Amino acid sequence: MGDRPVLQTILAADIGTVWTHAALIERVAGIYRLAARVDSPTRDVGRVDLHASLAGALARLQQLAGRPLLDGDDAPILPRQGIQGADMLAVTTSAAKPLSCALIGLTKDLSLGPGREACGLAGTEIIAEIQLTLDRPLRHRALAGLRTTPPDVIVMVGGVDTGPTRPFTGAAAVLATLYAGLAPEARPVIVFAGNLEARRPVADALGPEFDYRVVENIHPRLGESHPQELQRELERIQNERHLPLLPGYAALSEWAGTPVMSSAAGMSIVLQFLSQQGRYASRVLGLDAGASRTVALSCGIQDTPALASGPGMVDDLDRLLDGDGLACIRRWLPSPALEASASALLRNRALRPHTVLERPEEGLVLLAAAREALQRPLTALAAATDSDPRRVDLIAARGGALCRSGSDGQTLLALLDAVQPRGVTDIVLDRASIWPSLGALAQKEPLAALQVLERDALHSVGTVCSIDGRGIAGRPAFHYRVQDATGIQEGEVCWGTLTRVPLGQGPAILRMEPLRTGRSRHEGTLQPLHTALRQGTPALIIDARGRPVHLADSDMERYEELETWSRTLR
Amino acid sequence: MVTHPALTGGRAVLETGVAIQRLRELPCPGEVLVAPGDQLEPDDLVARCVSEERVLALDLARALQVPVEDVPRYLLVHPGQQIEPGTIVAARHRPLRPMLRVRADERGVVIGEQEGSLFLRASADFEQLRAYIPGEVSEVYPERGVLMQSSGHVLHGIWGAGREAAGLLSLEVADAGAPLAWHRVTERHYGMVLAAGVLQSAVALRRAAQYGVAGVIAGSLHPDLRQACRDAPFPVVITEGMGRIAMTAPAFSLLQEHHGSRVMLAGDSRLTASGPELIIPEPIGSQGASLAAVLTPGIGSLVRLTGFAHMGSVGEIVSMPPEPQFSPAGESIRGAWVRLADQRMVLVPLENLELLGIAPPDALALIR
Repeated sequence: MGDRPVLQTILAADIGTVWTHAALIERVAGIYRLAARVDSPTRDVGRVDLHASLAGALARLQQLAGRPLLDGDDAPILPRQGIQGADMLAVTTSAAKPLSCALIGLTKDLSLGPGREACGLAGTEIIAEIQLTLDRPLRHRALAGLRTTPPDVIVMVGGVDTGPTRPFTGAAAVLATLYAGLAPEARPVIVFAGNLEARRPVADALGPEFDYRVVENIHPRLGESHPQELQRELERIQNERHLPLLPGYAALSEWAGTPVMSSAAGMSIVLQFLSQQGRYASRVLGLDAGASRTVALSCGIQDTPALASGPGMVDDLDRLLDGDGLACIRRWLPSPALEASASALLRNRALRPHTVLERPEEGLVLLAAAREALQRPLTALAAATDSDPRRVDLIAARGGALCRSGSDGQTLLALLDAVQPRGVTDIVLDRASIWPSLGALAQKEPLAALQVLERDALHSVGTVCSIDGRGIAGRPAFHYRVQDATGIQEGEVCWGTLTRVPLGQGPAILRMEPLRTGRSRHEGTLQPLHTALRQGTPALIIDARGRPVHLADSDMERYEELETWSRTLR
Repeated sequence: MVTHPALTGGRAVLETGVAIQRLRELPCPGEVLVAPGDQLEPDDLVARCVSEERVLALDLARALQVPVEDVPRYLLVHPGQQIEPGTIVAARHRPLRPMLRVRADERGVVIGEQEGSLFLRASADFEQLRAYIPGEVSEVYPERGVLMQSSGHVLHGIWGAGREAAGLLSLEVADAGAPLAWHRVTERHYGMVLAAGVLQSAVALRRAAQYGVAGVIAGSLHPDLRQACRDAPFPVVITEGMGRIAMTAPAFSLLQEHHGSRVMLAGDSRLTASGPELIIPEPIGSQGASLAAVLTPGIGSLVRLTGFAHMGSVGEIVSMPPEPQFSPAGESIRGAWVRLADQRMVLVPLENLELLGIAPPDALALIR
């Protein structure tokens, strides 16, 4: 350890499907700091080219930093030569296409349903579902289809533990026949997430040629669901199989000082760190409203991270707007004109995702879409985990739709509406778009990652104290008292309102007392609250809109309340 | 020196009078049927390969009327065996009753038997690759494809559906913002590529399919018609975006000039090599053409505005301030002042500009 050279300069990059974010980290007075960062359009010719995208971003970065980072062949100068280049490169990417997945299950509702949900959580694209209780000819025809168009992965689900094994072994034998003669690397990975007893017989029926992986039964007993291990395995397969297929992956792997990993994996490392550091939070909810997918990640001190994904804001816009998606987005917009233009604006932005917002109203539409996009993985996450992902200490959010669409206040409001957190919650943003690459960097240089994260990459937008329950709009709900070094701020908050209390830099104490006078009317029992607020948070937001947040039925009233909330946090 | 990377090197939406090269590549190794120097028409075959195989399941247990575990006893073929249509793959003798025979319907190879079914890999059809543009075979890549070379004008689309087609261009509207009216699509448009300002009518699309239209190009598309376009038997190319946006003036002028010319259209970028585009082949100057030059923006550059606020507008750059500016959205941006056709001056982020061409530098632009 003592002989290891101290790194002076580090490059960190996160390559998405639309933007490539690159950052230059320098050691200044013994501490790693973010020296410069750029966003550059990702180079995409059919598929994202990792090398070209990184080179494009580093070309901009070197211009900004005023020092050469690329050599004549557009390769990063590694290791550093004087003031040229850097000592290390850490890269993450979210540009790999989703795994194509075929689901084989016993029954439609009890097996394929939970299997579909679990695969959805991992962001896979399901191309076939085969029910093993189907008539044999139909079943065989469907299985033959998996040879005609082989998926990346076949997931076998179904059967509570001690359930039947024969349907699985039969299907496995058919798969072994169908893929006979095909090289092992050309065959799909088979993941068995079904009943315990069938694991070994399925392995025997498949034979040694398949990449066969066993995970915990997603449905071991009636009423019990354990999709997390399947989900993690699918993420792992995605990283093993799809990342290396991206053009430029080999070059990046050679240059990078840490394994090139998925952005979600990088972000997960950062969230785990935040949840394990007592001074930040014990329960963290990570949100990423990205172009290719929207991700919700839940992290606790004890738990392994749980992940759910939903449609992205660019690549998957059709899925986001399908059904009542567009109507749900429109209800967050404060004027009929914006409601009318929402669909065209979102669709045109998906066609030209590199364009920059020119009017504030465009940001309102994007944030409304982000609210809806985040709802889906959050709902899936709540269904898949035992704990409520909305009851967290910290919400850590990132993604272009959230961080580039408006002021901190507008983003905060969008996050409050989408998550509707309970209790006291800090909210931080990844304005520098650097969390995933810091996660990758932490694998090798944890101190550098930690110092940059703490000093430059946690953009605090506020602490929210949310009042659960429901009361009559306009009636007093709580009396609040905030004491910090600058003095005392106090007042009443009414049901249906948001209140913003600006905070100083020092520590602050919040006291909330329910108003039990005849003037206050509400459902349930309100509890007093006495808590210390995290230092460095710019404002306390008291959200007395109740849970769940209910928007007025009348359009005019809804426009008015959206406008009022927006004005409060602006 | 200040550079503007958002614009530098960007592909122009409109390329006029340029050499055009298009790589024609097979999806899998196959056979190239042409040689360098061959002169081809768009429909000429350049290469072919065996398309994706199909796997079939024959239910022998049911056909032979035996339990699944007995099926192997009656099999007459073995894994790897080549079979022809009509080949008897299994047979069962029944005392005093006609013999049960199962015949293959298609040519193929036996994969194997399992659970009473025989799995066969059916022989695949040939996938054919055509020249797409008229011109010369410039290079041949054995087993993979060819590089075709031609010259003319290219109009790039922002969205497309369907594959490739060729036909005579028929501009159906007089105004860049006018819709393709359903009653204008008639049987006289058989094999033609229709052009209009905007595409808002599902009926027009249905009639285009009914009358065998070769393709449609328009400035913008009603978002609800995207699926109808994908289902149409011809390619559709959209140049500006979704909604009701007029086609950019220079693009519309190009179509007006070449009304009646033969054009090529390519739709969905996932189904075509080039992505959405319209090509108008035309011989160009005796000096020979160069490939579309990488344009460098500057004062006087003609640009298309692609942000939602000014989508479809065309203007001229009159100033490119070196320092960041504040946009109306409150963001610090690198932008350019652009004079629109109605003489309004707007500050536009560089990311929201696409170069259409370079006008001669005009030092007096700012004070005009």
